Amino acid sequence: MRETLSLLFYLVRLRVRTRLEFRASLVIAWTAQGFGYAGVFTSIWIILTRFENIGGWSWPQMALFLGFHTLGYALGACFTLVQLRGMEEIVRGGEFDMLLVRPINPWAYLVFSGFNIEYGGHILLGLGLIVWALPQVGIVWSLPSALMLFGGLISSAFITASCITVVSACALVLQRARYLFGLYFDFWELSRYPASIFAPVFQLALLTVIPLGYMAYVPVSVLLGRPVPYLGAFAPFASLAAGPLAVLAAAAFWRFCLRRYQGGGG
Amino acid sequence: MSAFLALVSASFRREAHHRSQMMMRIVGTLIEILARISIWHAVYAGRGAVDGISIGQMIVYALIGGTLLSSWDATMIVRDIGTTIRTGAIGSSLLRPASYPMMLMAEQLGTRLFDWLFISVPVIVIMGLIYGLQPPASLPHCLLFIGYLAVSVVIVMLTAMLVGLFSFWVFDAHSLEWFMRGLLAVLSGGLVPIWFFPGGLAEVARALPFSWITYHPMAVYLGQHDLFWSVQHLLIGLGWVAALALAVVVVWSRACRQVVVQGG
Amino acid sequence: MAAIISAEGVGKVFQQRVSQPGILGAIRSFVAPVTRPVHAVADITFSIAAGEAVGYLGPNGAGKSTMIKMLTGILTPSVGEVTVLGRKPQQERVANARDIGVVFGQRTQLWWDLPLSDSFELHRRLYRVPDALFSKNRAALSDMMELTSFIERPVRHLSLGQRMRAEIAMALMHDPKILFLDEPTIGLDVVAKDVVRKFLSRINRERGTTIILTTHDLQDIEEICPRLIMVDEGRLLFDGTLPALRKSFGARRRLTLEFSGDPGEVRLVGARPSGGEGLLREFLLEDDGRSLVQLLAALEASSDVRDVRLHEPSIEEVIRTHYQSKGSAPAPVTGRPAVPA
Repeated sequence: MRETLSLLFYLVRLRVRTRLEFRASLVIAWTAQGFGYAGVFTSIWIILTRFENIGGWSWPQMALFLGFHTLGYALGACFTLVQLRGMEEIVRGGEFDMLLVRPINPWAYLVFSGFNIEYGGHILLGLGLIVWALPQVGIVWSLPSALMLFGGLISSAFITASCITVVSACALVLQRARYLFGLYFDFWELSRYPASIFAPVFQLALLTVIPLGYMAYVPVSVLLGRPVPYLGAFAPFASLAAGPLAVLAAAAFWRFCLRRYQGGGG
Repeated sequence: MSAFLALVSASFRREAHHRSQMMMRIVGTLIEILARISIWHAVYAGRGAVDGISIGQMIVYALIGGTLLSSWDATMIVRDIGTTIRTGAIGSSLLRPASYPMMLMAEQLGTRLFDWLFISVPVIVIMGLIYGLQPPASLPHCLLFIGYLAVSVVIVMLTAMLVGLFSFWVFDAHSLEWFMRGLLAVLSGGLVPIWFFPGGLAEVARALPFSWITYHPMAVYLGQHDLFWSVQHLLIGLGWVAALALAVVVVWSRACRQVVVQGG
Repeated sequence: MAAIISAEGVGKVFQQRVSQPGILGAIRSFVAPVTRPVHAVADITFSIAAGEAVGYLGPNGAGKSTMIKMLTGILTPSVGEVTVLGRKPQQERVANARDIGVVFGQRTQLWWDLPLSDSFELHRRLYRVPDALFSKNRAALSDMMELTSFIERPVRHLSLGQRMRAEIAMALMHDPKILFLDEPTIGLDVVAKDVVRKFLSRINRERGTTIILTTHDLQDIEEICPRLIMVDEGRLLFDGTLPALRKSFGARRRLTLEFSGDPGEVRLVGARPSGGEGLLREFLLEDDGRSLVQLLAALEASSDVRDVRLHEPSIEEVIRTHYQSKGSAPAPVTGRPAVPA
């Protein structure tokens, strides 16, 4: 176990060292991605300056929501997105076969050897929004609320990593997964708004089969003391449990697909 | 005639092959439009009109602005140019008789037309049946809108090409793509119409060419301006097209020199 | 010696999507895709003893890669049983991976942007190689493969030949008992091919590492592998040594005679004329073990022989002969006992 951990840590170090060879481009990438997100957030801010609230959410509340969403996403995606997004090519190019002849779990190898530090922009933007918004939304700090903040963020990161893993695992069986990633991001965008503004079908979907509602909507609602439809008093527990449950489901699905793997590339 | 039919059959088979992918994109666009309409429903919350704009008009704005007039796919051009430069394929495209920007334009136009026909139109029809689709303000407005539509596509492409060509000098195309995405998300009026912008920002956004991508065409469609104003601004839009085209030509010729000096 | 690799009636079936003709067919296969089983490997049995070097040979799509993938734990056989070092490779994938080395010619295991030495270090950690063994192996293999001059250079700056040498050296760093190579010389120039072949045969000789390699290049087999297994369309065609292959596939030695004057009609008992004009005549010889002197004694011609050449059939000719005669019932031929002595 200790040896495995040190190996995974070494993989991360190798990747980070590679990326740091091109420092200037890294800083630019951070800025650029932060800027890209800021564009969308500005649009939401404009709506809120003109209309006061979206479904009862004020701008500081929305800012906390968006910051939480961005930070939770970045924490999960830095381990998964870039390395697993190309799963289709990894499988079809035969690279996955190469992973299977090494004495290591192929998922762990992919995830840690691809650890991506390009999410600095996301993390700064997410943290910035949270830090700016927190004093203005009047949260009464206590042990449970602090637990909710940090536990919720970890849950959010787990959900992101799990969803991306599930989509990428499809490539093991179907040999393609790229367009499924497109679909994931469509729902991901939905989860950037309070779920209560959507039709009930979508609310239910975001709280069950596509658990992206737990990325920010449920935990931030709990923090702000806002009611959560369907979950009610159960919301805090659901929020903290969603991440670990998603991880278990994703791990089972990955194994299911791996058993059906039929090789790729000749 | 039989050759023609064979071609139809072949293209049909090709489409059928990619159909699952196309269905996914239609579903994706539906979800995106649904999100926008839900947002407007939520913020209007029963109000009749805000700044003289009704909820019905905002639904049309979300529906057409999010499909036909979307600036999102433009990022593909930036990516394409970036790849061409990084892999050195740009060198061989210099040898071809047709100019690279023209070829790029033709290629992208084909893709865009296909998307309009097989993704935008189905989405507009489906959502229109659910939420209702207001027609253009008048027949002349409708005709002008078609002109604006053409200007919109060309401005998106020229902007994307200009940004993409910068990856000759600056950094990787991926970062440029993100910058452009952030910029266009706000300034095109893609998500939020400029009439809801706070004063100063609105002035700036209206003056920049990006507002011809989504905002001005939709304002004309909805009859926010009289015909004189609409024609005048269509001409200004064409002026922007000319200016951007000139910029692309200049940047391209400099880029060519760069390729010759660096040897690809 | 006991077998360390064995395949017992192994078969692998893939489901392949069948495309239907016509527009209706396209719609039908979209709604309910029709699949057809493809037998990539069918009923293959062989066993390999420790220290052997075996070439696994066959045309494209013969099921070579599929077999290697089953031996290395990437795929499970649909029927039959594969055993490597007493384990089922796929069930005990990680344990199996620690004891074998794998090189796939067209895919790199090296870390592109970092120096070679970092890839080696990663390999050490992945395979948990003890420090002393690692430094000994690293020194010895770098020396043998002449890696020292570029070991600190990023892999992206290395030539294909340098990379392949590094790749093979790395696969041996953990002292694997078996080395699998899939097309190890593909894309290399003549000199690089030669280095790789000499190295592999030396590793096999000196370290006793069992080598299994698939290849298109028959010279690889001639120089590295005393034994070869030939497959086609998933089935075993031949398992044995090169001379045995020549014999059982009936590839003939070719005799070329050059005469000083017009020889007229030339006759040679037990040989078939196969061409030649003017002063040259060619014959294909029966495999009867006659010496050159005996052959010349049996020659009937109206002119003196000025020059004689006797060609041993190359492995390529052997296989060409086989494929030309294919269709005339290619039954599996076994040139040696299932478990070699």
